[in-house]
Amino acid sequence: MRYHPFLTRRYLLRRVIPYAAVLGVAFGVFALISVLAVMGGFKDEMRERIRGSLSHITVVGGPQQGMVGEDLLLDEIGAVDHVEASAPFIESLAIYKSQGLDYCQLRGIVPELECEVGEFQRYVLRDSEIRNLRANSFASLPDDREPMLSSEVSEFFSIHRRRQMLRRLGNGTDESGFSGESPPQALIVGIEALRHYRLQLGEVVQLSSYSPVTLEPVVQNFIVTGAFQSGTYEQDLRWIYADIRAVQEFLDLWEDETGDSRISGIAVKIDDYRNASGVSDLIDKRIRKRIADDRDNPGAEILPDRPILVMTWEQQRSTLLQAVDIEKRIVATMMMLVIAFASGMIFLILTLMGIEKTRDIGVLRSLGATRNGVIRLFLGQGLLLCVSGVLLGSTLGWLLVENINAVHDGIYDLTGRRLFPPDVYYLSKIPAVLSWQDYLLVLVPTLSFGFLGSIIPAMWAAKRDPIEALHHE
Amino acid sequence: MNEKPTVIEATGLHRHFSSQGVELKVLRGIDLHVEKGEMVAVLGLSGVGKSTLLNLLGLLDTPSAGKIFYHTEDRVIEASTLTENERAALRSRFIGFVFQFFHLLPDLDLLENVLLPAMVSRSSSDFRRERRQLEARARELIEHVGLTGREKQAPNTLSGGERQRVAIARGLMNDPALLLCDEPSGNLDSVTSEKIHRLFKTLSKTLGTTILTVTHDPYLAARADRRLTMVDGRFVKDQEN
Repeated sequence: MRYHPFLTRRYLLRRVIPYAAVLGVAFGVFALISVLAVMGGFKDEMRERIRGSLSHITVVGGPQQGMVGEDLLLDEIGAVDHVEASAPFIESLAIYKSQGLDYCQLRGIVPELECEVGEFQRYVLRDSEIRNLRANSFASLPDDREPMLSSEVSEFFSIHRRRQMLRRLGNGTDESGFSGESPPQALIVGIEALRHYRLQLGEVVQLSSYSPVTLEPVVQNFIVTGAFQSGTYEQDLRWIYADIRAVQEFLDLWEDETGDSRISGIAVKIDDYRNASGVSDLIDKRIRKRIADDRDNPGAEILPDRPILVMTWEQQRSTLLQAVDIEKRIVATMMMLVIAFASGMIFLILTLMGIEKTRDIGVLRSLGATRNGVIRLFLGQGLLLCVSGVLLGSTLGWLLVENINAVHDGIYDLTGRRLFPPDVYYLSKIPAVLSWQDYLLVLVPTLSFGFLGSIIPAMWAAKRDPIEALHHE
Repeated sequence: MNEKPTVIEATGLHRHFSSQGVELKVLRGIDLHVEKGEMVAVLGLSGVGKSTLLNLLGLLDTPSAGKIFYHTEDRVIEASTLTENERAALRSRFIGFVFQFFHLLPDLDLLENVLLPAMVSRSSSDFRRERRQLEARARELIEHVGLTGREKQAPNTLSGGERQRVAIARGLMNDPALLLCDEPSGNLDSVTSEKIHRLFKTLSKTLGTTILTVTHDPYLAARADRRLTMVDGRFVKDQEN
């Protein structure tokens, strides 16, 4: 019927309070969309960085026993469908002595292979880049930065580079005690370690740890020959890369029993990271089958029966990714309260309007309006307020998401404060991505709240007896 | 004998209300018969059941006993056979209301108030299609009640008499077969009441509208074709004027 939209306009447009309700809903939707977009973008960015710094799949041995049979394992893994590259690695906690003592996550790699399984070549910095990044603590690598060639990355571990670095701080002299003929093994350290002056290029660093094989303490000098920036703060502060053979020697990983050097695991790259779960199952089955075959029919080369664990990149950082998800959900729930409050305003406005317009309801009923017609009249008003708020909030939210970096820069220019410090998040720009799932997460509860806030006063208004309504004072 | 067609008739109407276990018998067997074009006044003291009768005839209430028949153009409809929506539809196209306190919608201007019954009774598409004719009719009715040129005024800028004239125009908008008026001059001064009385008479004669008015104003009753006097929920007198 014609009177619904007509009366809705007349009842709402001439009052101030409905506008407040629209603004309330709009603010809630705007805030929720903005927060979800930024958190979604942050999560995507974090996933990308984790995926870049980790391989798609990692095969690791048990914490006590590690893995042996590196070549056999590489052969077996390389034979699995969808596997593009694999690289052995060693991981160990270590303490380094420089100006002071600090701990690090030492990672032994084969540089060329590491470049194939991950994005190591994207992170390793040229000397000029190291100077720029150290000079400006907010700076990060440009997105379009040309990655290094794997041969360039290997060069950081070369004897030439180590000698060059040794001379740089005057360590190659006879007084230093280090021989230029046989310089210490190379370390590639995170940019944050350099920024915080914990380490410096060319510095000879004493690493100490325990050998997992002999369980004896081990100590060895290394020299810092390069730096990397992965984009994850903790990684850039704590991780240190060295050549895998140097680390095997340092940690004394030779096993007499198997006649092989131990490794921590093997990093695997596959053709599509989204298939990581399926391919990890294939790798797991293949290695277990090989172990079982070798146990039943021992040949010249056997894989010892040790526990292995095959993990996708998401499983390796599942706690962190879940934490971001939970954080997002908590913030969304809190923001939903704003929308619930705005819907409460709609409820109150319609309830008060139902009281104020009691006589109008009586007149409309006497003119032939049905109960359902009255419900539609009030429900329409509530939904109009709600939908207007959703449209306004969505538009403002979309505008903010699209221009969030310009807004962020504006706030920085005005206040001198950065809401997202780049030295913590490495965000040269704020990543904001609004997915349709997130938009539904905003839309469905908002419209549901709006509907609930409208239908109750609408039914209450329709229930009124028309005769009583006409005599309402 | 030139007998006019019937518009509405009621037989044995009773309306009882229960309050705290006590049954209050407001109407005690009303029989009524109103012909087309007739102006009938129901007279009586306050509380005798005049407004209750009007609510029953206007399908805003249902009788405890008895029957009401509406003689539409194509058939006779008995009220108790109708569903809620059918009652609303019949109320919309067959009956017009004029209330003692006018009950104009304050958010609407004068023209919109008069157009309101047309909006309620039609679908959006029908209203859009007929909008010009409907507006022309509303303006014609406004002219009939003497308020031409004030269509865009808000109700609260009008005097009591003028508001009642707008309410009468609204009551006639859907060209109802029956106009039910509840104390139409009860809230007006004597001079304005006289103007309203004359208007009813004119409308009755010129538009042929059937009017059933509840009043205790003897002057209005004197202008009606017939007077029904009500005492204790029954008609005790039926007089032609």
